[in-house]
Amino acid sequence: MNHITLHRPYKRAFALCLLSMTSLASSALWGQCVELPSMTQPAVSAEPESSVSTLSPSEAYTPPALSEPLQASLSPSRYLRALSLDLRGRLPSASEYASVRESGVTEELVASLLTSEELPEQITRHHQSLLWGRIDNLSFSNNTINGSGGNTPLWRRNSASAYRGRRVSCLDEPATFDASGAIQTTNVDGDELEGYVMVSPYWDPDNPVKVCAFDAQEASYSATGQLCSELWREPSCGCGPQLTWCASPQSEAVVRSSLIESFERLMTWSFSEGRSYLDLFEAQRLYVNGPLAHFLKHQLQGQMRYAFTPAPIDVSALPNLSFLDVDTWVPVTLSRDHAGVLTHPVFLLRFQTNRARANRFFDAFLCSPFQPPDGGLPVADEASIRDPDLQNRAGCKYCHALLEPAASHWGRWVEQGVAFLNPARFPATRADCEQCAVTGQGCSAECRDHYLTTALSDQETPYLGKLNAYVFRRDEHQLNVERGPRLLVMSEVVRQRMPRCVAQKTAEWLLGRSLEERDQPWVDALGLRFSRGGFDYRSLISDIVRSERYRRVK
Amino acid sequence: MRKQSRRAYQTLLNLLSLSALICSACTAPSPEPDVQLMPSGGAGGGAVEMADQEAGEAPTAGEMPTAGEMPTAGETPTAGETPTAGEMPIAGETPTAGETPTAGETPTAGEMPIAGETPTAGEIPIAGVIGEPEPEPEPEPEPESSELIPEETISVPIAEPPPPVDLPHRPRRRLNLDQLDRAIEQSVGLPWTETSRGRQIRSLSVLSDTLGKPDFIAQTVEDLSPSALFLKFLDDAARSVCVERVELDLASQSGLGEPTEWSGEDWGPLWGEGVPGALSATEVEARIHALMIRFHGHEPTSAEDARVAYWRWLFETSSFVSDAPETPWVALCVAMITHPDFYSY
Repeated sequence: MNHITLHRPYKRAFALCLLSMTSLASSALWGQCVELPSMTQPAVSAEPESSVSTLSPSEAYTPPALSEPLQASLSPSRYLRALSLDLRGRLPSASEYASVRESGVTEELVASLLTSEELPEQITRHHQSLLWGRIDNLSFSNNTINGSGGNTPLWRRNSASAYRGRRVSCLDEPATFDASGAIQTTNVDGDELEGYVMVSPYWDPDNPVKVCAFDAQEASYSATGQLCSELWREPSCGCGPQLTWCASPQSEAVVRSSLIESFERLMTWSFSEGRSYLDLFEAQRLYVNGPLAHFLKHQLQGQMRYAFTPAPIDVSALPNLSFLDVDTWVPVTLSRDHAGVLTHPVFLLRFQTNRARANRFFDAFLCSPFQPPDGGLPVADEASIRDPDLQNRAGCKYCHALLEPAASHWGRWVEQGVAFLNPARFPATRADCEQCAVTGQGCSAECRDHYLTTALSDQETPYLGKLNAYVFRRDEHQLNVERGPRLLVMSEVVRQRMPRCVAQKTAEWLLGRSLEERDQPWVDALGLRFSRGGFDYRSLISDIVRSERYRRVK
Repeated sequence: MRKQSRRAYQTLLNLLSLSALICSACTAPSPEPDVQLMPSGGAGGGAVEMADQEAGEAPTAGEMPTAGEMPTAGETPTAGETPTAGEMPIAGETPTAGETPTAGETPTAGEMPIAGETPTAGEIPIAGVIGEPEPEPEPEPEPESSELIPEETISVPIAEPPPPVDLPHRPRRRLNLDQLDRAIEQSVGLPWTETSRGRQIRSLSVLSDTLGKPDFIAQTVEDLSPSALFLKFLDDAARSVCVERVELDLASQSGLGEPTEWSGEDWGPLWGEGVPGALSATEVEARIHALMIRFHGHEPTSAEDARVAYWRWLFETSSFVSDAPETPWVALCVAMITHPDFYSY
């Protein structure tokens, strides 16, 4: 595995440079820090210092000119076809073929392909294959209203026992109300069943549906004064006006597909012309359409299967869109804690543990999947097996010594959810959680969910009352939790591992094959050009599609 | 009437596929670079990528040198005179007697094998002719006993012959489903669709799971192999869109139907602006050239181009087996879509 070795005299300067950067917003700053290791050398980590292969700027790769004939290369028209398919996803036009017939594949033609509006879509498609950003198999809400088939009334299964005594639907007849407006019920086999009312649901207001009267209640507050939007087993609360607080299978499907599209829009925006590749990991924006705005505004507080609160977004800043505005997309600015795709809800829900998140990043952007060595892991003695710190436990530490600190970059993003633990509300150690953990008093839900309140071994005792992300965290890794995934990206850019891996993955995408040993110097040079060129992803693509490897097909 | 016409097309196309298979087996030279993506027995397996590569330098498939063009004894082919694909050694293989090194590896005169001798490993061939059948050894005068040279001194073991240079390259790649969907629409002017619950939906999106498009949940790697299943559905797609295209264009030209609408770039009817049955041989040749660009991005270098000859043969054969003037154009359209040069790059 290749990486950049930072020479000792520059380490301090480099660290200072990193620390001086409170934001990654400027890729120019990045360039400065990455240029520092112009005194860096790509090295093979497993080999001694003497065998370090150096790539000086003078040896930097330059792709062959398009006019330069290559032995056994594609004909110009077939080369154009390949370029068009890879960069635009479609065949060339007749006029483009005619142009190539006249003057071959020119620099201008390749430049026009590299600036085409379709290129970001193709890059996004490639990055979906790296990030696996699909969540079609997830169902977010437990507060789902559904029918029993046919034209029967919609009802909520999880609330039914609070309304009717058992998990049964209401009667398929119009509801009746007494003089005070209270819902009247009929006793059927011991269950108190009400009738239905007609409601225009928010997902399809033009087609009213039957809804059980209890579920259709519109009151904002319960009989005890609590917000009905946060309750789901309260007899005096329902789904609100137009069923606003409840999800349906149809609305969930729309929200899921909207989230995926939001993820892809963020990537496409990051790859638009003139942007740095690092925007993919630095962007503090979320694309929101009508369904997402409705979901984030009205349904996060309800009974969710995943942790959506504390919400990672300022709900009051969301645009005022109707659920039906599916094709209206508005970028919303997020806090500085966000790190582009790495903290997008789709990535967090697709990879629900911090280890899984780190593992995907290492695999996709560092080309370093966590794998056991050939021959398996060493057999541990009994004492080391009992060590709860995986960074130390024999066998486990082979991966976890690196994986645990890497995963801690997501320490403030809850697992099995997208919620963000703000440092102000969730400090590293919280007095009430520490007290309840030490004294055995009842702990709040926040303490139980996010802090260590029970020690199962002596080694855990010192961490009682600490935020989960800080448990077994070494001093030098505590910064990981505070700075988040952007620090991980920053440090891997500095080590040159990420630019090199990005070059490798891009080359594999465009060449359609895994790279071989003899390709390694070429990829090293591509990675170096990529980082020195300001992380211009189009330039990287340009280098690859002009190369003889791309132009020669077997 | 339209259904009957469709059935006739299908029957005809089946016949054509069979005849094309037989023909390609008989006439088409070894499609060396395409071999990994070439369906066994698929329609139109004759053309080869090699003709793309260094067009004008290497003779293309089907351009077998005639007797007069064959290098004669004592001649050494230059890099630009690389022998045909059928004679090319496979990369990684050491050329044996009678085989020819690849272009760029032309042995020097001192490396030529001795006529009639098979160079063995560790031996450097020292004379001979490349790409030519071994000549009968001429009877040599009996050397005088005093001039007899021990047999083992004839061969000069110097070093292992250099392995063939495998230049950096990429393998041919199959189009992914998104690319294929758009390519069909662009080339034919119609998307491949089917009707489901009263709605027109794109068939390839329905088949995406079947054809290996990843959902990134259960499957994370895209299957881009030209599998039998892929080729089956590609064949379905080709037959569907080509027949529909021809029917629309015929109706439009006869004034019976609406002007043809193109969902992609307007390349015009397969047979151009003329009447399908009334084209001269020159016009047909020109249309074949146009279709090669349209479907495959191949720019024919000349009328003798092996690919042109292949498609011309298909056109003539189709004309022979059917009286319907549009049939050869449907056959060309289907064969071009199912050809590896369409679905790979």
